[in-house]
Amino acid sequence: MQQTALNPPKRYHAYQNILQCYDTVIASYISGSGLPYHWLFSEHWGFYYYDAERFYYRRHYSRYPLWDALRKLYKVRKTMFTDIPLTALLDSPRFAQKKQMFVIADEFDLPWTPEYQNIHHPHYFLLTDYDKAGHKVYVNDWWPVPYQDWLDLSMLEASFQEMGEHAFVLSEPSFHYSDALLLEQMEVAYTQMTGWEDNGLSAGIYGIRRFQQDILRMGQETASFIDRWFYMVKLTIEAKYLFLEYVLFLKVERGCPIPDAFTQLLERTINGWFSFRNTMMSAKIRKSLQPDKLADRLGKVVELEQACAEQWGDIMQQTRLSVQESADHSESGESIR
Amino acid sequence: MSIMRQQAVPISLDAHLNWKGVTWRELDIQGQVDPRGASIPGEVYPQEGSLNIGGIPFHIPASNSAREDMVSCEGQQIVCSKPGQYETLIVLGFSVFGDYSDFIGFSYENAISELKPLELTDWFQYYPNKSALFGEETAFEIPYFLDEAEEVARPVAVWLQRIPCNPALTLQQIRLPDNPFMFIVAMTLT
Repeated sequence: MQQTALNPPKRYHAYQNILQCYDTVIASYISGSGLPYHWLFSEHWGFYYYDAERFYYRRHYSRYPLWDALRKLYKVRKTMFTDIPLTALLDSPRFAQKKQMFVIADEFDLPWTPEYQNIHHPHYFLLTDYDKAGHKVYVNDWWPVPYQDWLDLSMLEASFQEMGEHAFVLSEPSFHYSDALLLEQMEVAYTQMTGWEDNGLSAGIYGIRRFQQDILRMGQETASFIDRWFYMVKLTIEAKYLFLEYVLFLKVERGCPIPDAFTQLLERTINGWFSFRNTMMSAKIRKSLQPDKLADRLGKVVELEQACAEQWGDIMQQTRLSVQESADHSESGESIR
Repeated sequence: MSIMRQQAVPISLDAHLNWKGVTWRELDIQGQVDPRGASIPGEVYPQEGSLNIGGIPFHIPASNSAREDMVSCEGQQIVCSKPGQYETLIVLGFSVFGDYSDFIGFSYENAISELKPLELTDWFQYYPNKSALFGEETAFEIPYFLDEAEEVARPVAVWLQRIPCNPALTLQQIRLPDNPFMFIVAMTLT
């Protein structure tokens, strides 16, 4: 795929940070192939609770969920490269042919990023061209600051090395929309919201309730988990934001019957999670942990999550009826012809 | 009895201060605003008293003692000392570990209430050539922050955010959001 310059992915939520660098660069790649990328986030509202040390927004808590969606919905294969110098990757026949290399580099050394010479932080972006004679690469980056330009390769080499020389390429994505897929993904999200219990796993609302019970049971012992929970809840919230972006896509681009009240409810639920997470950490900082107060915050999250599940169930039902109606019309149209 | 439209009225937060965010190293006074131990150096923070930003007066609480110097939002109810008809609530504040768009509640006379978004960008999202995410103005820059006692030469900011009130109704109380990592250092009604 020849792509010197890609476009930034179209976003429906006003919050600029709803997609971060990793999401943005993958979304741009999918969009660059003329496909909608939002389906990547169609299974991001989950909550999977195993025990106080292990909960996540995906069943496979050790794997970045975007890859599951890329494989399942877009048939994309990823090829990783590790411990190979950047020049060797760019000199390879593969790059000459595909003009595509996703790289991870240290923001500290990337002059267009806000954290240049400030903070060491891994950053993902895409290289789409290489001028060997000029010792330059073409960078595509959209978050947090857009940058699409040639960059002196020497500026990138050390930064790439600093993050462990990790890069990857993706195969050509393919995606075929169908009403059946829409309904299937809506059903998956609904099941993730309502949840279930199975072999030590409590998912969805069951999982949040079990988390709440564990906080009450552990009492002050909870304090030793706060740093870990703060991070795990952060990932859960980021995933929920991405699901919200997907819901807005369904509303705008697929015409799904999603009222504004529902997207507002999703936002309130995200705020409920923020309230829980930040109450937990502020209590740690102030050395004033009250497990019952914390459990109460999570109780509010449960109420909001239940309302989300109920309304999503209604939206799914209306969508199913609407799809059925269109199918009926289409069939009767054919019979007339 | 009709109530006259008020001039700018700084709100005293003294009764609601619940967070120590400003550090004074020479006085051995330690603040903290995020889990990593970051705090605001007292020497680059506005001193107690009136602070004028673009013609709007604010009251900054004292920071040079061990007493709390800012409000961490936990759903507090703030009673207006001067109930009146106001057009805007102006908040000086910032968020940490996230950019938050939550709701602030206004209670008016005759039991009328409304919720309005209170949006505060993470103080780390302050960059010279980039606007705050929710359209806030920069109230003041903090040129460096403290990591424990060490200076980190990375500017951060306290934002100025405007929230419209209903000027036809008499505002009596303000309810803050419930998100402890939204910090308010001063508020004024205009």
